[in-house]
Amino acid sequence: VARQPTDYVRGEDFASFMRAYQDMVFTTATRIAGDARQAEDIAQEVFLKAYENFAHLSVSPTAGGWLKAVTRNLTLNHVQRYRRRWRFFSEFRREDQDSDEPEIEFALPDDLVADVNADVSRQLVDEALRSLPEHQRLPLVLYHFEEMPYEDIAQQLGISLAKVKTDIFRARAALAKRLLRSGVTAADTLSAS
Amino acid sequence: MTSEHQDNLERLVDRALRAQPALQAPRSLEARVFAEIERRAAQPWWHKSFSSWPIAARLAFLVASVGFAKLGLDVAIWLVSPFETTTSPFDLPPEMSWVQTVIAALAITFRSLPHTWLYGAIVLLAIAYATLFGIGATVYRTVHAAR
Repeated sequence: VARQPTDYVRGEDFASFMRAYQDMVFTTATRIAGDARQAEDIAQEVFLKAYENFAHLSVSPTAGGWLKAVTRNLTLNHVQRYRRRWRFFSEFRREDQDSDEPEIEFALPDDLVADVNADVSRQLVDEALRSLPEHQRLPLVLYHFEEMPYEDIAQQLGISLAKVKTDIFRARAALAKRLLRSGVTAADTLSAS
Repeated sequence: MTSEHQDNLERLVDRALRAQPALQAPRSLEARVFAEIERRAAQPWWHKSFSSWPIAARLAFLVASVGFAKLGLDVAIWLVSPFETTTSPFDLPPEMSWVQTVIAALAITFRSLPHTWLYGAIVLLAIAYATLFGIGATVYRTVHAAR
């Protein structure tokens, strides 16, 4: 079938549009989903929706915000659908029943990932985030990367405000400890080589 | 843990996370999106979402749906009505009389089944469902969640 000129122009424009935003969309999806393969599927879905609305988006000054919001919503839907499906199987204990054991205060440096280059720093942060339990990682990512307030996170995830705050706080502590430990190791390895 | 310590922790974690650069989308993403756009464009209208159907097709579908719902209700009422009622709930042309014969045969079979058989079948289905669900949960917890 011969391609219509308008389709061709639209396709070229859409390719440029996609190239401008695909890293942002993929990054958002990967951070929330915690999995690059799922993130690619979600990013594809986001751009298919964008294509359906391209007449409006191509001239909209808020196209980036639209894409960000759609990506976040689709990824959260995806994550929660998966979570609901498997919660019965993997989490017999209710999340609200976490123990209230007191946190031990530990010394904080000026920077959690000092003395390592950007690539190593990214790798360390990725590994540290992946090491967190899902019920801590997700609210942490929504708070720090997506800048969502505690109340919105609680509403979105269907858990109490207190639970969100506790999970984020514990996630920060676990992340900091892990980064401090692995950062020292990485710095030692780099300085030795 | 003191409030000051918590604030410092939040600040440090925030700085560490926000310092992370954006990830690079896979090269395959653009090709995947355009392939899917082409695939969807090549689909006939009846494979697309209902909102993309022509108006006439949408109306016809709605009318047919209402017709089928009415037919289903008529058949259900006829099946549970007293045994003496042997007349069909709908009038079909003579060349379609075999449909009435088949439905009448099914109705007689259904009505002649003891109720305990029906209840037994329902219980059996429920047990089979619960068993499969339990096996699925056990396999998931032992094989996947344990990793």
